Amino acid sequence: MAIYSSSFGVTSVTKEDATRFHRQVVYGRPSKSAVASLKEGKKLLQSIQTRGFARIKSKSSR
Amino acid sequence: MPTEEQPPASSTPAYIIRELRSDDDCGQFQVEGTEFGPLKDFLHNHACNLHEIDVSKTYVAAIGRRVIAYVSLCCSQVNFDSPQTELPKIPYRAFPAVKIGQLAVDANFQKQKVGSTLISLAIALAKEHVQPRIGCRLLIVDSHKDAVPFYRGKGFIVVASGKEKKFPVMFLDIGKL
Repeated sequence: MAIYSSSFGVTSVTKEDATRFHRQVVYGRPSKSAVASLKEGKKLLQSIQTRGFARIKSKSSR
Repeated sequence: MPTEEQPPASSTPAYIIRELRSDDDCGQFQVEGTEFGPLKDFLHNHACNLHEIDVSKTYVAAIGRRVIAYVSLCCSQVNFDSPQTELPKIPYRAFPAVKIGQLAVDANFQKQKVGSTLISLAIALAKEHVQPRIGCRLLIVDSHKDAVPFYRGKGFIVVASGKEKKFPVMFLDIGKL
């Protein structure tokens, strides 16, 4: 195991996991899903900043 | 303009996303299985206090005052000690991060994308509020292994090696978003 993490503390990555992390930080590109999540989150944030809350209609994932 | 407590009469069942409040009803929050008991305990006994003393900040999905889901965020850091490789050198061995400490959805409100909505909010908070003002490169989470596909669907990447881990560390590089 090459990862140590705690609730509020530091996450330490070593060995092959560190190499994988290093490669991602250098060469990784954001996925479409991450971009879509950010877009959704921005709308929520804007509403929270303006009104103090964001209202969401309940929706099913099925 | 509709208020938080008075939804439009024609609306379908809706919930509100906002910061946790001291008068929120957290007592009805239920989880499925003893394995997730700590998530219930955190909301019942710790979230409000930690929110007030600025140790972690909790955002909730609520119907009225009843909390049906929550996400708690705090500052963190990822240290990495990369062995010598052909990769371009990074002159730092640590990256500042926002950590998703807890994420839970009430057992009665699963499969309605409430957790997904809260993670989208966490991503936007880290990207729009923290990164430009404080400096923050990553959003990280110690995911439950069963939740790895969920976080992958939000763009997170597993840092852990292929070994079986109960709580794989995952991250999203918000610096590149």
